[in-house]
Amino acid sequence: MEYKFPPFLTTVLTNLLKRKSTRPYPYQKRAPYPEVRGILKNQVEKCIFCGSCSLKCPANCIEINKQEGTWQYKPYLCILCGNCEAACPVKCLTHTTDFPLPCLEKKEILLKGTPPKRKQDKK
Amino acid sequence: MPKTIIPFGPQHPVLPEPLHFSLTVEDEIVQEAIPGFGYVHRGLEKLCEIKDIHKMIQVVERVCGICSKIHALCYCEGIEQMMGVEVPPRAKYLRTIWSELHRMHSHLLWLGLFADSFGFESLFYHFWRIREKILDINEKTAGNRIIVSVNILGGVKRDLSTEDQKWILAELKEIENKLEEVKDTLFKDYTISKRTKGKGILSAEEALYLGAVGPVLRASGVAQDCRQLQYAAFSELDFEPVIAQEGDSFARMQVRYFELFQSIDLIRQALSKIPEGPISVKVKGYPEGENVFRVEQPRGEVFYYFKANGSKFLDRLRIRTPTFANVPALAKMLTGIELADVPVVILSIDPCISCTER
Amino acid sequence: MEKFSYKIINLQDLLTQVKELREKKYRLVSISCTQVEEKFELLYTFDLNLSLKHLKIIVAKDTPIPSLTCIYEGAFLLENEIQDQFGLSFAKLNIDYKGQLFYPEKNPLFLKNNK
Repeated sequence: MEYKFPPFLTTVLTNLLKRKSTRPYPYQKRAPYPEVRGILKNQVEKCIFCGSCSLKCPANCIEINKQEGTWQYKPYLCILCGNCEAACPVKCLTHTTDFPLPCLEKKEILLKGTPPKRKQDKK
Repeated sequence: MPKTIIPFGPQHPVLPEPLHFSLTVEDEIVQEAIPGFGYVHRGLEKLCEIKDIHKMIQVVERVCGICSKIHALCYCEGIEQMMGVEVPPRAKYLRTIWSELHRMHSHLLWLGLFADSFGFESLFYHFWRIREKILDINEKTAGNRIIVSVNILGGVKRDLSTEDQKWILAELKEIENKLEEVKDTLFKDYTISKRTKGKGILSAEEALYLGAVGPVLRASGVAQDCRQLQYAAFSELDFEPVIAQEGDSFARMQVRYFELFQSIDLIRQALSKIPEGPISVKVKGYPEGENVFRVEQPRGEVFYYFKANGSKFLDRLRIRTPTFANVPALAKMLTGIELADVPVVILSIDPCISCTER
Repeated sequence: MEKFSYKIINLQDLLTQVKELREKKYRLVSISCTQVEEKFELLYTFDLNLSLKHLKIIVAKDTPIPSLTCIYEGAFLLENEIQDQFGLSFAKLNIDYKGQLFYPEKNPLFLKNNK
């Protein structure tokens, strides 16, 4: 067999002299893009507990109790699709740029607010 | 020489997903290959009975992790056709751009895995480094890296700003240059041609008869690409299906490699022609009747069958994924080759088993 | 894209019709099964140069359906999947998984009453 120069060898050699293309992750992090969908944040003082986010959620990760005014969110069930954000009528839901980090136990986020008074209560 | 039955998989170093083959081997030559499934079956089709048509978009995205956007595109276009919804032209172009980005990152992932299957580890990581750029484009424009979740019934969720479009074009230029650099390696390297040329040959007639789709079919010289059906914005873009004649593993690699450049070209065309306007329309009511829809995925043609009854749940959703159609062809390719070539030939159809079992 | 339309044929005519399509170089795309009350509808889809042709048969649960594997060898996966999901049976399959392609035991999950 005739010896041929492997074409990838030049790429390998230049890679040896170049800077690393990976980052030492936990010590040096790339800033996330502002458009990224991370875990949900609810400004609970604006929330009217209408329940449209929990209705539109494909993973059923939001639970709402209208009487007590609680908003419960399971970040480890959330699939970060953004449906709830689009469905929210008062725009109190936003996706932050943080991702759910690995953890030892699944934590739930429970927010308590004041539900708006119903019409017959106002009278 | 007595016949021996050798189980291949479900766990094997080259297989990214669990696929089983029982290979009947005589003198290191495979005589018969019978596929076995059932390791990652999830029954996603049945979920259409408890998730409404809007939530099903997120479910069909999870049929396949790699071509999720194109599954959602197929589902949305099929339902929209049933309901008579006219999608705004800008949304059609945006869908096209994201689906071509998906095709590129899937092909790059496959090229890497294919290099891994014959032990070329440095090429494997080289391709994945290029792929990282496309994932970054997805992350910046759509919000997520792989399961981008941009499709809704009646349009898309996100828009591309002018700066984003410029940035995508600049990144594409860089990706194109990097791909040109590996061309010599892929087509002239002695090891690669030795491991792939003439392995797992499928003739055009066999490919059609066994129902092969996508790059497997095109590598056998049949110029059939579902993008010619002109869904989304493909009616206004100009392209020719990439084909190769040999029908072996090398030809399948060649088709996928040149499809990367085709996708870059399609994204450039789409970005130059993209019209202004709204990105979605409101969809009211629920579909009724039956419909079929198919689009071209990185792995081939995906076929959706819908049956709706006018309520918010679909009666039946049937998904025939490309790997499902390619497995009989794969079983055919495996007969008559040496046992040592089996991993390379299996990888050459780009198997996606979680797609196949859904 | 063309409009979806299908032709309902008798169970006996299925193999002869499919043979004709095979001679015209059609490619088998898919077999989709749906349960309609007690009956099952099987939609056979074929493709020639990107135009589709659909044939539909309606069968009862116990009727054995003739297998297409004598005409299209690659149909065995599609038919085995229907055997798995709906508990129907196909006659003369070339590779028969006996309802255990995906599930470890017989369990037709896609039947309407099987939640």
